[in-house]
Amino acid sequence: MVKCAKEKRIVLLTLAICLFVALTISSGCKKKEQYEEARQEVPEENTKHVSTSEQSGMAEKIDLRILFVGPPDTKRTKDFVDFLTNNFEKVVTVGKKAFNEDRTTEFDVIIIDEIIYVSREFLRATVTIGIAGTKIGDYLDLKTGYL
Amino acid sequence: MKDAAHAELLEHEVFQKPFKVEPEFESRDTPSNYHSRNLSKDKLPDKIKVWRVQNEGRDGRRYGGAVSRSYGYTDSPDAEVLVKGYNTGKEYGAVGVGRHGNFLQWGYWAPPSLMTEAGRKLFLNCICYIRRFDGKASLIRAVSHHRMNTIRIAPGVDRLRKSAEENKRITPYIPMDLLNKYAGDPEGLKQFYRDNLEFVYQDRIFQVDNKLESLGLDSNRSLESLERLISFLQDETKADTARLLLTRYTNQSFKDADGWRQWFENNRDRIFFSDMGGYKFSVVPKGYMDNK
Repeated sequence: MVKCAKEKRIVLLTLAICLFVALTISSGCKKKEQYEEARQEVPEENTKHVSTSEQSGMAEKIDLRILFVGPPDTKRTKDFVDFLTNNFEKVVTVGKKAFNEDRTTEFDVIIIDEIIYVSREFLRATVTIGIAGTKIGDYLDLKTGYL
Repeated sequence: MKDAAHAELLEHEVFQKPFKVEPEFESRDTPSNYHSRNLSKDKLPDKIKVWRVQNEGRDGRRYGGAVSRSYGYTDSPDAEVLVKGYNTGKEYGAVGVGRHGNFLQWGYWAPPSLMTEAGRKLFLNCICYIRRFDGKASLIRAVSHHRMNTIRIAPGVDRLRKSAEENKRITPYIPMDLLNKYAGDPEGLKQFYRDNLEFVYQDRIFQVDNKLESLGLDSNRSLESLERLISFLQDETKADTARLLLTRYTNQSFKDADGWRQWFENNRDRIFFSDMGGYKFSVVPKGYMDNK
């Protein structure tokens, strides 16, 4: 009877250890998956990313090359870039630290979603967005500022 | 700016191509700021027709929508209003999406996943539209405030006067003699500027150009006034004042009346006046408007 109880305890202990090991492994895998997902959400390079995602349902892509300037590694930038990639032939993203207006010549339109410095000689076709855009308009003395 | 646009300007190319934008209209209450900031004598309706550009919500604190003030936005041919933004901060007609030179400002804050289908199409069309303005510098820089701002700030006459008295380093936009004259009478000051709107210019503070009026001219911004000022150069009794005013309202300098006349005749069809550009007559360069 005592022996039987001992065996039972050993079996239960073994099961508990197995369960613990299984949970630990499972948890570790889950964390690893989440980390990888998080990594997939943002471009690996902080400053430059050539998008190659699938085409949108909106007929064929528009033949324009877009440079998107926005904070790298953010859901917001990814949101914009995914959408733009689905609609334009070429989309490249760059953060404000890496932005160089002299290197915009290979693009047709520059889209700016954060406050960056551009000179008064910057004449590239540009879309500015939201409050950041009005601040750029303000310091350039453009009517697109707050006024 | 809120999430919507006014149901206007829908004939513009940015609503047509490459994607046809088909807004879904709705009727909303006219925001109270539209009533309080209304500078027109006509009352605004209680309901107003709008269409939703993006869905509600905010994407963190770093982003937000913005409208630009409407006064003076189109006083130079290098700028245009594309969308009037439904807003709770500025006046009715404030610019939600607009262009100045090679810059197109999309005033809405939402990323594409939060835009409506019509909003997304308009956004794409705007990107395509601005492409043609690559290399097109703006003709003027917004270095002055539009004259309508005199009427806008007139109701704050007592506050402006108090601030200027308490801190001598503060320069009120309205001259002290007017602030004193209309103390406690904001409506009087408002009416003064309404009556003199065509003579307002900004030289650090807003001034009313009595010299222009003394020459019998009825506006400082009409092409006719410019032409007459040039003609006054040949009238000894008016030449000095005319010369002073031509310096005030243009960036040109000519030795004699013939030089002015020649400049005017050569550019007559391309001359514009901009309050925001410093209360100056300027000339649109030949070919500038060709791809517009």
